Amino acid sequence: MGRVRVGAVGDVHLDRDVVGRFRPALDDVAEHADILLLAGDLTRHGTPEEAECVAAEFGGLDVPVVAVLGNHDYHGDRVTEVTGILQAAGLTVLEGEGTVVETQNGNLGVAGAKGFGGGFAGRCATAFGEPEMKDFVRHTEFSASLLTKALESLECDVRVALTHYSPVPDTLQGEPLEIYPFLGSYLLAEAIDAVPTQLAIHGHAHAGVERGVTPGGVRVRNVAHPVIRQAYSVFVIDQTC
Amino acid sequence: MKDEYLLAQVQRLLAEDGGELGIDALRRDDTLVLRGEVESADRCREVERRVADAFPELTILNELTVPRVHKPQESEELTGRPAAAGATSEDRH
Repeated sequence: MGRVRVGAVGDVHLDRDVVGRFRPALDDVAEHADILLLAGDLTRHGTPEEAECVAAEFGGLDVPVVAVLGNHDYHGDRVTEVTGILQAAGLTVLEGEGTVVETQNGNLGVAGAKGFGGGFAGRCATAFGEPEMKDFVRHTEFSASLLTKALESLECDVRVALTHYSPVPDTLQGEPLEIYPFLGSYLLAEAIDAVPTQLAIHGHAHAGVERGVTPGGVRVRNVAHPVIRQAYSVFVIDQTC
Repeated sequence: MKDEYLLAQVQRLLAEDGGELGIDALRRDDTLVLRGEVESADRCREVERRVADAFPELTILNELTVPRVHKPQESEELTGRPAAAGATSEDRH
């Protein structure tokens, strides 16, 4: 076993006006990474036309591309079509599922789920009161349970969790405190900590920071494009340690 | 209009009609300052136009920027394992 290189970016918000911006930096992605992860908000409004832009920008790369969708990708209520367009371009789209990619340095497993909000331990929303409130919290609970099952299903050398929403408050520093409950949930961190995981990748928090850690000690990286300010970031996971 | 209501209207206009959720609006007298990041120069202009159309009485100072898309210049080496929150020094070894 050796060093697995994980490329990742989120929140690229593609539409016709952005097509071609990322591509020059992606054409030699295999020189930098063994896999490219897309942490949701791939489109602007979740339309099939915008999904075609994502397909053009991130399809046909010389490494596997694995994605989750984000809240923007759900806005148009056309998730099935959006997902189908991305899959037709060769992208793997995860929602409560896992996939294993063989690299020359070992098998990399990715478990993906969009996740949702609710906030963080001690200040989180609870499934109490109005049905709308209970639905909100239960959606996050459901997403977190899918993430745990997806992580558990992976038989691999390196396990990575991929979400759009953040599992920790660490990577939200810089965002207004008032909107933390809309940016992530501790339930995602709890799901990640339940299974041995080497890295957790998320997006969504444009004004946040890159680095955090779950209560269980799993590194968390916010790869929202406005945060990383490059086409993608690269994380090298050394399995010999 | 009270500043708070104006800023809320601007925020909702940009999010619900334009899909731009990461833009801060700040009122300075008759000027509305727009700050944040969008993914193209076209969107910088589009955001300004939307706000100008909705609030023609305001002068708009557009400070939106577009993040770069260059190749990564370095990678982050993830070796070992960070200490879990609340771990004792004994736990860390």
